[in-house]
Amino acid sequence: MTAPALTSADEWAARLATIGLVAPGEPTTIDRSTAEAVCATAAHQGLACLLGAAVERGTVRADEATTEVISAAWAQRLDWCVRLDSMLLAVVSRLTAADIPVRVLKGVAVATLDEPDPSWRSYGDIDVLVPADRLLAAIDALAGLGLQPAAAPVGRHWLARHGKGITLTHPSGVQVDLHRLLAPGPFGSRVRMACAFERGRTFEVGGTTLTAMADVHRFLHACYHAVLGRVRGPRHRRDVLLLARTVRPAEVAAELADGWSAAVVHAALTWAGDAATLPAEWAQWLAVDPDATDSPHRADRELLAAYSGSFGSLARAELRALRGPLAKARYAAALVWPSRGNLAARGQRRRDHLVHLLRTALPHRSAA
Amino acid sequence: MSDTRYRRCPQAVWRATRFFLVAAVPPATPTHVGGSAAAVWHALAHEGTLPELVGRVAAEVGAPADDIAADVRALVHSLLPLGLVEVVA
Repeated sequence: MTAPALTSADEWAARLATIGLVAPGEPTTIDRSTAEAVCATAAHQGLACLLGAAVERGTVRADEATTEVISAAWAQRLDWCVRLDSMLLAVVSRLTAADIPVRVLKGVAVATLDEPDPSWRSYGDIDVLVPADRLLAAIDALAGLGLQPAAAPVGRHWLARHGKGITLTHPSGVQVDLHRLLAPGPFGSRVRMACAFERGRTFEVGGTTLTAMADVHRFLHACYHAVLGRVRGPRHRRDVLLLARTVRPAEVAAELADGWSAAVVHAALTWAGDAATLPAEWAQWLAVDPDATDSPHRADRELLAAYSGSFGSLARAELRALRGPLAKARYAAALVWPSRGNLAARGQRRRDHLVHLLRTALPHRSAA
Repeated sequence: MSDTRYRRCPQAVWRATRFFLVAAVPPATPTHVGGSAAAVWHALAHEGTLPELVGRVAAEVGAPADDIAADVRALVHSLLPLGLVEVVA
């Protein structure tokens, strides 16, 4: 028997996001043009790898020519991952030599620790976390590898104190996202990030032992990325579902004291899962209405709205969350008067930037 | 020659599937090998002589050792100059 054909790349994306996580059912057949469409989706969605794995497992059937198309796309994605892993080893080596602790995020960490096989997961860049007060030292240490900021920050001091992190680029095209926080805005800045360095899970790449965050922190990061990131798709959904299988609600509850938000976890699981794809414990956790008893949860749900708006709405939310006039003034100053390099990277002149700020700060006047 | 022992380079970064192997020893660029290269790569996880490696691959793919011996030998010898496979002293 064969299951009904899936006809669009979107239907395939939904199906592939849960491969290996739910009972496979009857095999589905994919034709060449659909396979080409699935494999042409953005690399960060990871569908070419999941389709390859599904064909390898026999849960998706394809003729010989289609299998070649899928295999070629899969190999291309993994070629890039091998290149990224090579660079990651150099990045970790440099940071370690500079006495900067590091946690590998997403990418090869999830591929190795959480996927059934590392070949199931592709990724487009390198993500590493360093202690919040060591970001500038990490940038300086990585300059020796030829890694330079993709865009100048609004200010180095602002970046070190308030930024989520910075993207570094290498002449080879490899991009390294150097994080000091796991999310922008208030949800990111309220988490006590030292918790990520107090525990960890080790794994091996190229004979080197690397450290990822602990299981519960990888789960929380997957939830935060799915809900607070600018882009989300099948890979983000899969990450949430993968980690929900190894982490229990009680473990997450124990982390809330470090500033993690149950509302973000709730939003992520509601978006990513259902009774068929979530472990029973999480399905039961979702069934309880947290708003009824938990006022911080209600406030966080309202805060989530700021993340669907512009950077300005997020910055205003962060400004409200900061305590003390001096802290607020320091935060706002660099955004009002960013570095020349930052303006140049955005293709803006200072006067245009200030006019834009005035217009967005005075919406009623500009609307009139 | 049959006493020579081989293993994959411990510093290799790689992905292996039923369809292909992609591997590199940093900072070299990745090498792609199709077919049953992954089975040979898995066999090289532990050092062994060529006859031992052939035996492991034969067990994994379910083929007679005599049928695959030449291919295993050729693959091991093609990965040697790339540094992906090394001779164990």
